[in-house]
Amino acid sequence: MNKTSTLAVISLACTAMANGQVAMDWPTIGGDAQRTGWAKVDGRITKENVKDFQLVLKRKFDGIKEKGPRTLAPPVVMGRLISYKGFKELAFIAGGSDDLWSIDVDLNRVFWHKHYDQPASSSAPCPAGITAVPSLNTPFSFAATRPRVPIAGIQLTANNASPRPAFAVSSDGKLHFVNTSTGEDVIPPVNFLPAGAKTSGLTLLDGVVYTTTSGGCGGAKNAVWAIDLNSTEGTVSSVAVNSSGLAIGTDSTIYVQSDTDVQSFAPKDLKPKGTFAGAGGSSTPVVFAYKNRDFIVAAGADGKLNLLDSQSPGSTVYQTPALTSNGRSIRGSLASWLDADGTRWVLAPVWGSPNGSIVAFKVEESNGKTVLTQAWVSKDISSPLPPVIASGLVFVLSAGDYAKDDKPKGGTRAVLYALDGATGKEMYSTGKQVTAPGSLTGVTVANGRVYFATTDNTLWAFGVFLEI
Amino acid sequence: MRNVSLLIALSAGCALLPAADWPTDAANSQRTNWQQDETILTKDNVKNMKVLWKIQLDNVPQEMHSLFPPLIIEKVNTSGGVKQVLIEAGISDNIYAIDVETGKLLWKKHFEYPTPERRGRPGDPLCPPGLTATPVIGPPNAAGARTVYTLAGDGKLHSLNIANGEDVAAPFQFGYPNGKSYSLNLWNGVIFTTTSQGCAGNPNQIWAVRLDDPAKKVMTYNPRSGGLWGRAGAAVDSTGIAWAPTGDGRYDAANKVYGNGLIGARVEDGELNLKDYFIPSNWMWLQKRDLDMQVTPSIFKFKGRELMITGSKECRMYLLDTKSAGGENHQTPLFRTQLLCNEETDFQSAGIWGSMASWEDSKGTRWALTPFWGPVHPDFKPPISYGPVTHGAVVALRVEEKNGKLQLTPAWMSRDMDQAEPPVIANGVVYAYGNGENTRQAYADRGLADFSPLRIKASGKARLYALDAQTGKELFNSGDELKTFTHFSGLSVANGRVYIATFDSILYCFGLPGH
Repeated sequence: MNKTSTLAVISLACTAMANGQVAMDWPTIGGDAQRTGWAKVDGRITKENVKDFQLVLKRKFDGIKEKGPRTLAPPVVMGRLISYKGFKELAFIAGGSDDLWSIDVDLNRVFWHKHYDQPASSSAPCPAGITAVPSLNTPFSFAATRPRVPIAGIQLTANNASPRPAFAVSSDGKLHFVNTSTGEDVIPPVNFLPAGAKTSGLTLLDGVVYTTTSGGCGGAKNAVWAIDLNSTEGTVSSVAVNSSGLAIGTDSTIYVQSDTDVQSFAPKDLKPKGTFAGAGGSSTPVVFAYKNRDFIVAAGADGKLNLLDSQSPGSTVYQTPALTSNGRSIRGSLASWLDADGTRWVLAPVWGSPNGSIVAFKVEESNGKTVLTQAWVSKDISSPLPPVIASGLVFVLSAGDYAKDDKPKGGTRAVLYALDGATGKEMYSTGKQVTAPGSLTGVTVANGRVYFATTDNTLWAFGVFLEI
Repeated sequence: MRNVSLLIALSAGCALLPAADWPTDAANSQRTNWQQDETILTKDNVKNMKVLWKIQLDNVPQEMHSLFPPLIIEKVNTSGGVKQVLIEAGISDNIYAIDVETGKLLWKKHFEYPTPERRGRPGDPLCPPGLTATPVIGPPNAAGARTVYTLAGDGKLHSLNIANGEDVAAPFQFGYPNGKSYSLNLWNGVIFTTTSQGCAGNPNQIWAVRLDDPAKKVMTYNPRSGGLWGRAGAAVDSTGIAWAPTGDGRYDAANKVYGNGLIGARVEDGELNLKDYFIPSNWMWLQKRDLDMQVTPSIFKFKGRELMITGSKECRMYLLDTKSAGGENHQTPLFRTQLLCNEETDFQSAGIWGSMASWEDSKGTRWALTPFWGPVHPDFKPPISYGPVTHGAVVALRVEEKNGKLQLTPAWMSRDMDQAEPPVIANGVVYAYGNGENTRQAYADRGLADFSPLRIKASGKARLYALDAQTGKELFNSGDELKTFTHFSGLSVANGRVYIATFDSILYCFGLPGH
């Protein structure tokens, strides 16, 4: 492509973005492998129209037997699939009963439903079925060559390929390579994890699928796992570590937080790269590029945020004061985004003080050091989930009033808030529209809609009205 | 000498008598697809139609295109006497003139030019090389001679004598090579066409040229988004505004961007100026799902007003006033139907494609007709229908005024047809056809793979139907007479004959044997 063509493509893309017609993906939990929670482009949401958000999707998944704060997770979203039935924006939902749904989100119709029918026992710490949010193939990039993922040495042909595959792990531990047009397995499922393992953070990057296991479920060790789909054998690697999820750096380094530290591993074979001692906790770190290298922020068990430099393992660059003081903590994961002025932000969901809040920091230079400077604290928000960011707005779900055992109190309900990303000022709230407590599984934002689940296994989306 | 003069005078006089012609795609500049002068074929005898003749032409199909809708002039003074002449255009830059009485070739013109530097991607059905615009035949001049205006694949407009195919004027540039122009329309000395799909890198716009302009200045209006791929090009209203759908695109009035709508442009002071436009209020949805506004409208008079109908792949019909399409905000039609089909919101093999049709019966009832592809929408239940519709059908609606407002009232839906194409109405009979074409562009296992060889191989056969225009009841069908499919072609009806051309470059003439 010559320069003129490139400019023309960029110009077209920008114009289309301005009109909200670029379909973007939310391909994995946390929005990207770095777990930033940031939808970098959403042409439909603006600071001006967020006040007019409406309930744009509500669907109850009755097929999920269990109910609770972790039985239904928000979807990954494919902004545009040119399927054999037309152009679709699809949300992929995994349920605790080994079910996988594809939902046409514009029409709130089931596009396909797949039940893996794997025998498994269920208990609170070890729920049966698919436990990780599915992961999509590399996001569509305007004018880019569509990547074709090889899998375990099996040559993809016109007869077994899928234009935009999704990946999911069923309760028998097998990795499914799913045709997103039909829900069918493109090839026989590949052995990946022990049956019954509790997985999280499923992520595809450069032909390698990563995940973590926890809780000792199914007899599986608590570990980081990788399966290299580029290899002939579909090589599986793992490294034992207690964590609740992984984040991947821009150089494909894997980061997980254990009780005592943050550890980094090489891509594919997961060979240890480094340890950041004293930065331990129980959440998923966030990674972002800053000053030509990756920085990591991890929430400590003491309620402090630890800023880590990927080039300087072993030490913490900066530590914030404790964000909570009443024994509660920073939950789930963090978020990060870059505003139009080039300021890098880090957001933390804090439970407690008194009920919860979002605390926003700027990544800044001070006296020659990189620091986190607190910029704003949101209004009191009960049990806030890790926020997501789109169009300069921070969307945060209050899951409701939760007891310390992670059970919602009677009569409580979820509320979705939109906050000004620069000030934390409330721009919108769903008020009393949501009728159940929020699930503690996360929030998704894509193409003008913000998705979350409630404990009664209902998927909700609020967003910009689209006339059909 | 006196006898010869008398014969010539008589002959010229015959040529000037009222005749049932089909001089342009969709019958007239308003694109009503209504043959008003048909008297031979009737509801009662149409069941007796047979193939009167067929002719294998040497046109070579390009991608999925082959032959375009035939044009007919009843009385043409040729060297062999007065003949009814049919003009058939072929994608490979061919124009054929056929003697309608015998089905024999009178003359052929092939446009030769250096192979253009640019063309569409081989295998892409959207951008075939060559002649893509159905020609148009001008009115008789003082001597009764008529000219066929033809846009060759190199973008040159040719003016040919219909009697012998000879140039009557020097060709001039009226488009880009392989630019994929759509049917020519001639109104009051101005020729219009439209372009789409950016074929060979060319712009998508409305084009116009005044035939009496010695400089042959080419005037264009570009809506800055979408592609103007109404099958019959632009329709022209009584004020000279050419209305054309703008296909899949964006709408941004502040920046003069008019995709996914219907724009009207008129020649004024040597320029083609935008005069009005209509954009469906759900245009974002249409764009998101690739449900293009791509149907050439039909324009007609109704109770002192001039109205038009159009539609899209979404499968709704819009009723608009040419004086103010879409009202003050350009997004409020006089009436919008419910969805007639395409519950799946598919961009392929479903929805309304091509053009509309309209006619007025002897009782003064104004009818609006649309074809559609794919299954009928489960919520659309017309008062009269003929069994399940899973592949396509023709729907007829009455234009009515109720409580001071205009509306389109469903009257009947035809039998199932394999992707119904724009119908033609003549003497109380609706002629329609299922194109038999494989229109699949995306597949479960490979996504978007719109590839001509795949589609040609998977295509079937077209079938012609005749329906009672009041009820939609089937009166005739051609069975397996047609051997291949059609793609972006159309019907023509004149003087007791119905014409359809298929992909294998065979032109069929149906009519009443011995009439």
